Amino acid sequence: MLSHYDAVVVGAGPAGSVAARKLAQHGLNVLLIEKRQEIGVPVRCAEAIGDEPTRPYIDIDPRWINATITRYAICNSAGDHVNVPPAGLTYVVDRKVFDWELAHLASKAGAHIRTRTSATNLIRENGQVTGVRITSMGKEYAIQCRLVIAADGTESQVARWGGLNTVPPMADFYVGFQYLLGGIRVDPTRCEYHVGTALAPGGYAWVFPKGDDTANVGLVISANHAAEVSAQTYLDRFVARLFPKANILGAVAGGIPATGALKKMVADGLMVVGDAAHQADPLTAGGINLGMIGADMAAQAAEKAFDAGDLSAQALSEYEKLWRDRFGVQHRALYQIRKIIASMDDALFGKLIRTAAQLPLQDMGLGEILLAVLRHHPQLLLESRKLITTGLVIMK
Amino acid sequence: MFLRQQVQERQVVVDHNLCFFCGACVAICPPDSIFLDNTHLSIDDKTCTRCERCVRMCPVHALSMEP
Repeated sequence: MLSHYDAVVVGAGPAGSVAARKLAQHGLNVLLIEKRQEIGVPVRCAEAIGDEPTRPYIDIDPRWINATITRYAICNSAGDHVNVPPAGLTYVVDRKVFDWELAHLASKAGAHIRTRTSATNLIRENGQVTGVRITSMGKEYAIQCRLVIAADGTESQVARWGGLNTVPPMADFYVGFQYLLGGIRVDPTRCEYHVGTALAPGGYAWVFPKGDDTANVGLVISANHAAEVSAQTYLDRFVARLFPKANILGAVAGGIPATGALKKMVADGLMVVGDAAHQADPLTAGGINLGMIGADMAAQAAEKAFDAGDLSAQALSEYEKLWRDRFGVQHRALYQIRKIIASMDDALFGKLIRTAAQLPLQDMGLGEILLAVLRHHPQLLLESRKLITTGLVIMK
Repeated sequence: MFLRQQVQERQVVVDHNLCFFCGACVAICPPDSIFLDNTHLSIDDKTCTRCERCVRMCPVHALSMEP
């Protein structure tokens, strides 16, 4: 480890590792630090990724694929369900191997990597970030650098030290719990989403097959609905109903902002990527692919900024524009869809599922599905302006 | 004054047997008063505003206001 780097990346999840690799490939000296002693552990995720958005960042490798998904099912607690064709091939992966491989690629590109190393504060001069204080294997260091990339996840403190407001409203914060269950029978090619106000208020539950007789079975609820009954207890009820004889091979808890990305993702000498920047999908809270894309965009803007010798927030804000141009409208639409679903009662949601089940879904885009469902359920016209806008946006 | 003192005496307590160290509470703490160090969670009593967001949303209900 050197005392000076061009860039320090805090957090070796998928976003941090991609950012570190891209910058190292550009010829910059990069340090990637991870507070855990091992990369990829503990897994705090349902572990689903898309084939197409993953390919730019890592060769698809059976060593980290647990299941290949060709169908999604949306279910309610009354037993109705509709099969929805996925937007593309999806994998349920082993994040321990996947994250490790991404960090390994950063290592091969020339980035320096240290685990069991956490950031403890930023060093700033006249507002510009000029370094980061770290604790590595119990020893303290002050590392000088021109850019810090905060990839420190949902609990990011680096971004806050840089003066960015990252605290989400409770209504837009998902809290979740997940078991890796064994000894269960699941369709190994199908991911299930379960929706219902009693099941997972303001959120949803999922069953993502992990190969053989195992699956990630978890749920998220709105933080606003977590005071009386915990996410863990909601999941225990769900598991008792669907998989009463399952073994618990793992358990994870977590929280994830579903706000859409932060408006301010840069400061002078600082960029924020991945969950730390709230880049997860505002409907599903899926964030692996989005975090890698966000990190890629941040690296593109950072490379230009290094080339120009200007690491000011102004110069780095190119990154925010890249993100907005690609995801701004789409994520606002997904946010609205979540709000609409969360406001529906179970009876209406059941009708929607039964209507959708009659449609030739394999030939329709999500927007067309929404509009067709709307024709059958005019009461939704109360929500229609948002819904139609949302549908049109998605159809594009 | 008496009321304020009473409020200030109440504090957020973490049950380390229940906590998964997931960091959800760190993310939603407005004054940034919660610190997570792999397998230890601590709360800065001086900056905590007792808003109880963390207590209400903890995925495993490992946090509580005491007494």
